[in-house]
Amino acid sequence: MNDTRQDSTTHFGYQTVDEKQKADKVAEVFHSVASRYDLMNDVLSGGMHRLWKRQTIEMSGVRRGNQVLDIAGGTGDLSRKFSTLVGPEGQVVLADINDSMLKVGRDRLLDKGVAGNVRFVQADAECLPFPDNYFDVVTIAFGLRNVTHKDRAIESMLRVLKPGGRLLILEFSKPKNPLLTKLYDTYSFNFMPLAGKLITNDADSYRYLAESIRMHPDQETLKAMMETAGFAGVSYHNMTGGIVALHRGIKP
Amino acid sequence: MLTQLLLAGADSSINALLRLDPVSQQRFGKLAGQVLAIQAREPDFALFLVLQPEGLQLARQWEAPADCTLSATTAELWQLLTSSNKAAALYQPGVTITGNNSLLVELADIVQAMEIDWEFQLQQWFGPLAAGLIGSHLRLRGRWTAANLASLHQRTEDWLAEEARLLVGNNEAESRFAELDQLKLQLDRLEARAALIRRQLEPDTE
Repeated sequence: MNDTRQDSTTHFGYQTVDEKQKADKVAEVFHSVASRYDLMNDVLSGGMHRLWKRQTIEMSGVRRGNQVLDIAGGTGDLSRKFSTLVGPEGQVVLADINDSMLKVGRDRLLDKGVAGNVRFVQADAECLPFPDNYFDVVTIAFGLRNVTHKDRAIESMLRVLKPGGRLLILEFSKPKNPLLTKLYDTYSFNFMPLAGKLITNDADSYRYLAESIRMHPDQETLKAMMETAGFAGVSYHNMTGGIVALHRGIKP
Repeated sequence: MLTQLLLAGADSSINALLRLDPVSQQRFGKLAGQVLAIQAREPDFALFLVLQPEGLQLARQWEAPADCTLSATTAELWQLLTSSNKAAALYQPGVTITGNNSLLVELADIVQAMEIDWEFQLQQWFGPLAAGLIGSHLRLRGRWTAANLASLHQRTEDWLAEEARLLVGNNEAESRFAELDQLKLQLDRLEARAALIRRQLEPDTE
């Protein structure tokens, strides 16, 4: 379950790197893609990421007055919707470890008139700078696979959640159908780097994206990780044949 | 995901329509963050309207409690949607409203009062002169179509009424046949009685 190796190395896509280097390498990737992140998401997923996020919002149970933490919030797709749902008496914290992504997200939300109940915080998911039992809902969408110590991050999310609060992890996962797996692999390792090269002139970042998805724990493993961290009632919901899964857990 | 795709398409279309009426969009915006649950019966389905600053989002499920829940049969919901007096349609016997009903009343009022200025939209694309010409032509055609549809409706109604008078329904025919049978039996009895009387009046031939 722990994604670190004995000699303090970890994976960065298919490469094995020193643990300390992973955060820097991930940061490089996101600095490189930040400005065209939304465009690339639309191109690479064919707009499907919007539907996956819709489903996440439907299942989040966010209501007026809630405190919501959107980790790895990137360009603020989820935070924007949550901001409306929590209303002026609630609060949404958009957190991202990468300052380039955070700036893009902040500018985008301000441009769309989202302000007042949204805070922007540069934070590492492994050691969240928030008090214990503070948030009603914590979400992390397409961010967990980039975290060096996923188990520590999940524990940190448990700590900041109020008892009864829920964690939602939206992340790429493993398709169940072998034919879909084959098609998905062909797409990921051929089309994605090519699209990255054409649109952002950066094939490596998108090769990393495909590799990091393959290195990410599958549905059952991630569920077990959440249970080990202390979450109760953990369940997951496969989307698009399991290419993406939404895991949910409640802090007891 | 197919349902999500359909709902996304539906709410994008509704929001595009709302953008054509800024007053309604502004009124929608004031309700942002509130959720209306629609529980339909016969067939059973649930739909959630999540109000957003720029319109609404449709959802098949919603984990948080809704501000207002409207329960009715699908036919009653359709009637509510198409009725010209939505406020009255809300208070039919089969319609149940729980929670904050002012949300529903306000929504019904917004939909009722929606006025889309198509001519203004055309003006954006073709300029004021062309938009005016297209608008007046479409209005004329619209009036012509409405008048013809009304006339067709009236003629069909008249024709059906005429036909109804000429043709006899199965039950009515059966009833008439039964009456005729009864009449025939009565005639047979009368005939037999007349024959009996005749025989009694005839002088004894023996």
